[in-house]
Amino acid sequence: MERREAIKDIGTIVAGAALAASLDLAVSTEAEAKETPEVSLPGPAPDEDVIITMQRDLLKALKKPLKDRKWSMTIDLRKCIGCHACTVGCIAENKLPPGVVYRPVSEEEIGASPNVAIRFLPRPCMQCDNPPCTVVCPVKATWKREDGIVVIDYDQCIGCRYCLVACPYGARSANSGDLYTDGTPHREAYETSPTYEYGRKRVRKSHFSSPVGNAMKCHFCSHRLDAGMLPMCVTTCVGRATYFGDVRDPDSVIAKVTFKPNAWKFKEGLGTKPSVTYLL
Amino acid sequence: METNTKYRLTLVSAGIGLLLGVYAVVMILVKGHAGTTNTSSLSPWGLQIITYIYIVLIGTGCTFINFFGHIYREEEFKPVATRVSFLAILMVFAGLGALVTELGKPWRILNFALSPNVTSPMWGMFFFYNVYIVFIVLEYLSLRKGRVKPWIMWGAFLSAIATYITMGSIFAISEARPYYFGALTAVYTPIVAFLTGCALVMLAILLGKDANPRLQASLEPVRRLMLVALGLVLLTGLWRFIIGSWAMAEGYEVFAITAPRFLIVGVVFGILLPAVLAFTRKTSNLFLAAVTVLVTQFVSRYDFVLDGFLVPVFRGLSDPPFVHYTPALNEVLIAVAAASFVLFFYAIAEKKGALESTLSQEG
Ligand code: SF4
Ligand code: SF4
Repeated sequence: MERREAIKDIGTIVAGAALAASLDLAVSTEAEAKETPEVSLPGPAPDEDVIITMQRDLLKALKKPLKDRKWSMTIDLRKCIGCHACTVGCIAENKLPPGVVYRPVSEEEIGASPNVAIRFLPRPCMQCDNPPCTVVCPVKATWKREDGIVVIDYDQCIGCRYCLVACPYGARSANSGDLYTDGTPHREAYETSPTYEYGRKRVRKSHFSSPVGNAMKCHFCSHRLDAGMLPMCVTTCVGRATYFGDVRDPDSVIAKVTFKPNAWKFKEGLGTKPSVTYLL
Repeated sequence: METNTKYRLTLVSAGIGLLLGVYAVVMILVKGHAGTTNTSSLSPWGLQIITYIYIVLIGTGCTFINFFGHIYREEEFKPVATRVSFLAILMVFAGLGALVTELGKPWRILNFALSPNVTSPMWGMFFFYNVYIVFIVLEYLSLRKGRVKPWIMWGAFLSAIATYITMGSIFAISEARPYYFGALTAVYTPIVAFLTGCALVMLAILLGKDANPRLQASLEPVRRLMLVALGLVLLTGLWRFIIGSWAMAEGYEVFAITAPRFLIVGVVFGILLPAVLAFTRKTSNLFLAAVTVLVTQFVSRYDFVLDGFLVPVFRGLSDPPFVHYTPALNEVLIAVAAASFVLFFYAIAEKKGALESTLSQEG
């Protein structure tokens, strides 16, 4: 079955992958422009959790056409407690295999005892406005969407891993098909259960089925956004350190917290124009 | 040893190498990269890419030598030209074989043609590679017939330069990896090609001159070219190292960390020793010089690719401070198979007289 899929794959390419690629694009744009999902929220309250407020902002943004939204993330490093809940939540949501982490957190010790501190730096994909990872892809398998998310077409990607080399943030990973249960007598069902990244169900049976063999990266949980939900890392953030939303909406939480004198962008000097901001 | 025995031994050993490679390719295709290769997200390129770069650079060097030979010393180069051209073709296909197995989805390689991204140096390399293949096949055919056409020699030379400058650019434009970044990296690539090509051609002459004494005439010009190439590699390699070592920005520390190995393997054993040996002109020393160049340049290609990943660009909680990669058995077998492929077909071609111009055979 899997090999049949691979053969079908070859057939599709030979028959005209260029056409297939343009069709793929059309399909994903259609999916993105679909109706705003129904999510019921309690009425606004002055002391409501910021997650609820951001959820409200999200539903508002989804009413706008794709090109008028600009998804952004802001991470308040003073609030991050280094619990790695975002890392784990993301791995569970996107069913990431060993060696693939979309949102790791680094830990850096500053100073020396007794004046010592630890700085935690969560690192999602920066969804760069000037992404070095997309221009290098030899087969146009990755690009920046109108709403700012940098995506990968798993059916187009040849797994050359050039984008991994080009990303200055290490935000791309290679899915080589390793499983957490490799070398154990029992394979857990979650290791091969379907994934729903980019809103498409994919069954991972072997390396013939994408995304095995492909490059992978954080996409701000675009499949959750389409369903009216915040990215997983935002909802699992114990310190409420992660803000997310449409930065073009001046009334949104993200717009209010982002443009501050203590805002900082990671490796900004490289000219990548990250869509992720850190608050120091 | 008797020529026929030598021939049979070569075929058997290269054949075993090829079979081992076929085994590795089948394993990688059937099982995927999991458990069959040791590349990772932190070290995304490994021995297959290194083999590819190493081998195709030697092939390009062969093309350069034929070009310079044709332009400047046609008569002296004539005896060796056809075999050099054939070697270039073998190298290109051996390298390509090693490269394809590195892809996560090798059966999608046609996407290069069907969904081209002209902004990508990797795509540029693919494009020029194809042009280059056409020219070197034409070059071989014309040399074989003894009717060399200047436009073919120029076409092969220019397409080789374009292919390997774009290949160098794959690394050179990666600002994310300061160890790779910079125009010198792109220029360095064809210069290294020139050097390794000289070394291989020198070996081919030394190993083939007993059976074909006419080859001796090409030895001296190739020796001179190799000395020039050693000088150029020393200049560009050292300059890249000096600039990298002086730079302050994050990521450039790799130059300092890898300096001892670069200076010992890359400069002392890779340049100075072969240069001294080549100066002596003694046949045994020339043989040693060529082998030293080929070995140290392999180590240098290995170091070049992997040192770019040595310090992770972002270090998550579970990431090591330095990334170390050891090739898996399958990757080693593919490297062995690439070399065996060249040896196998070269030996057959030599036996069948396909490395000589038909005119010289007649004459
Ligand atoms: S962080 Fe890396 S993967 Fe993400 S858009 Fe920027 S360059 Fe691309
Ligand atoms: S790994 Fe895939 S997405 Fe990345 S550069 Fe190669 S083909 Fe493009």
